[in-house]
Amino acid sequence: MLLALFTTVVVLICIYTIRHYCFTISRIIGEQRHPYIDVDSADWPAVTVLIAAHNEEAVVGDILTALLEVDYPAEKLAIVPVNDRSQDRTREIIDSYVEKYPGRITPFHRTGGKPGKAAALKDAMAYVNTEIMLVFDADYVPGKALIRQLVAPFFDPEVGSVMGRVVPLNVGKKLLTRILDLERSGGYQVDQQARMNLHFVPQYGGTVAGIRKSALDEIGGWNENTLAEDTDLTYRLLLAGWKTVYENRAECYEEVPERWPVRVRQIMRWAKGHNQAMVGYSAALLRCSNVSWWERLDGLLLLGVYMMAPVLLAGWILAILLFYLGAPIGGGIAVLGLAAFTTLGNFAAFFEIAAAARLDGSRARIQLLPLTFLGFAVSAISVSRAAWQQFTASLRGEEMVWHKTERSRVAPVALEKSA
Amino acid sequence: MSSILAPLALTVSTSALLALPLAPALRELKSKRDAHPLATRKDDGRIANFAASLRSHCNKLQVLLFPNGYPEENSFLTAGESRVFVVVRQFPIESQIHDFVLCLNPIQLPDEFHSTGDFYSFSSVETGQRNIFRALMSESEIQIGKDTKVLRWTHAETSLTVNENCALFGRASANRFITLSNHCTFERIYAPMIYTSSDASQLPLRMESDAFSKLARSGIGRMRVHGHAHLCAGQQHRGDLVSTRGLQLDEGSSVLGSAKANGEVHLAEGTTVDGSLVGTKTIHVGADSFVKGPVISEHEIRIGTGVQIGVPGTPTTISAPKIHLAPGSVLHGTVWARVKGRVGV
Repeated sequence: MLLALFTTVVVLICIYTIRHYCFTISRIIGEQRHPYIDVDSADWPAVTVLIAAHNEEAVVGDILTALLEVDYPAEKLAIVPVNDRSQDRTREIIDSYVEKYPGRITPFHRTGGKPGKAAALKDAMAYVNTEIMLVFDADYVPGKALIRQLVAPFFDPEVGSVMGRVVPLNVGKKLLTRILDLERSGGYQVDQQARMNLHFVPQYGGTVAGIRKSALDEIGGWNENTLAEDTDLTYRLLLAGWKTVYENRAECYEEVPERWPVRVRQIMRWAKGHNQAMVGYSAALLRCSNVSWWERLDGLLLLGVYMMAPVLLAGWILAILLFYLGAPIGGGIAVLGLAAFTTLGNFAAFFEIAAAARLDGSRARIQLLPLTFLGFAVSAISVSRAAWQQFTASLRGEEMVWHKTERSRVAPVALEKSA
Repeated sequence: MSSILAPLALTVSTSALLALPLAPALRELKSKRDAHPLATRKDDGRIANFAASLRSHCNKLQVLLFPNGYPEENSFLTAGESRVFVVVRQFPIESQIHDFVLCLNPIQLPDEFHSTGDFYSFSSVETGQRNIFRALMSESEIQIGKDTKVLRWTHAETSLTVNENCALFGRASANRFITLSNHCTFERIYAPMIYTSSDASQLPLRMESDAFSKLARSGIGRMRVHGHAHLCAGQQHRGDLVSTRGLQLDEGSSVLGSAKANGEVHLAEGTTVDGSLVGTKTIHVGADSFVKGPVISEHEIRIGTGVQIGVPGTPTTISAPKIHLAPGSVLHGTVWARVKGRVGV
């Protein structure tokens, strides 16, 4: 029994290791897909931009300022800040912008209802009268061309959602922000773009993102019972025959967590939401005829990605147990050791980050690569903890609670200086 | 060595060996040499940005170069570190100029003329044959002679006419229209009207259909076909059409919406797509067809004679690595070929 479990762990880890390598190699030497990047002139559709804001007094002014300056026909751009039960000055700041720019901003001040971003967005749909809507978290700072870049893929009638690239703004603050900067590079520059290259399943990320309203209506709207409405939406769209597109050049600055407890809470929420989607959609994905076999395989691996941390930890414990029980697993330990090294070591996830840093043209920051092990270790433990909490909570029949990521910004951003 | 020093030395040397790979990381963490956010795109990507920048530069230059009015003869002038060849009247001129050229009046250039600096004219420019320009801009019209190459960009404030066998690398734009000729190659071109031959301007232009406008207002809807999608001659499909494989529209058929194929797209003669047309492989647009646009392919687009893409007043985009345009078509907006665009029979 233990031996069979151990073998399963080794096989799973090897599969994910191969996956990392495939993505990185596709990104380095494969054909790059950016089919919509050159859409330069068009009869641009009307768009609603939803800004999810819950206690965002530190950042909400920056995104409103940036959106008012984007290169998109003003008469076709509706800006809707979704002020979700904020207790701070968020409402006051939004209202000051509404007054200063009459007709440009339509605020939605939500004073009650279920907590969570998905629930807030669901209520905000009453303010969406356009076929295309974009979603930003309040700590993002869109550039001038971003709206057009995110809207262009919707000229393809198969596209249900679009995801842009997230670029950390507060990179140099702490060791954590520097590690997260590298992790984000790996995740977007390599992971997401490789999935786009290979016609797999790029993930809708919930911010710097766009959705086709008719597609959302077709799949039943926002699911407010999930902690990760982004992953949930990705899979519901996929199952209904809609594509998600990743636009690597649609870059937008975000603020990454500066404190470890904030980061731990963030990744635990992501893990729980992702695992919810795994439980909910794995079987449906396997049965779905709308989806190619490659998409099914990638979709399943993506759904299981947050389970790999507890699986890896379980593998280590099993290996020790089997060793002391005298089980004949000499070769297995060697494979697990190698796979563990290549998963948390230099040749898979690290390889991905190194490739991403090179593609980004950054040089000195790659020297921080050994320190990203710290980020992986914290993530592995947090994600495993999240899985355990989720498991025990489901046994007790408890409902999961949504936690907002705290912001650290204290002054408006000055992008020209920082870039 | 004493019994205390030996383990101490071993501990220190082992620690040093373990710490050695971390030294560059710790150095970077402390010095923060590369700790700024990655640069994201700041500009709006407009094709005429280069032209606007050069115009602004020329306006500043004028103040420096002509404080006492314009010169009466062609002359080399300096402004700061820039050397400028100011052209007042028709050349005689050497066949190569390496400085920035500023033309004050209409100019007709000789054959074999090469300009390795930027070439700016306040008035119209007619180049000779086999000319080479780095960048060419006119506040009026430009006529480019046969076998001429523009290496970086060209912009005409009114019209740009390009004769046979020319190569336009980089950007080419005009505020009114561009006329291309046979065997011209291009990368990114923009104008409200692009004719792929001089007689294409006679083509009767179509506008967006009322039926499509009505449908768009009421919600277009989508049909997804598993496998190859095929519309028979004269058949009309109302709504967006998505095919998991190829798409074929026979003669006179139409899609009142957008169409997408995960494979080749074949539009026969006289077909209509009132929205966008997207394909992962080659898109063939048959003669006398109409696509409102955009037209996007991940491989190649081949456009036949008498085709209209886009409608007047609403520019659109034709985008693919390779684009082949037959003479006699009218395109509105941007044509962007990442690898190569070509006009030819």
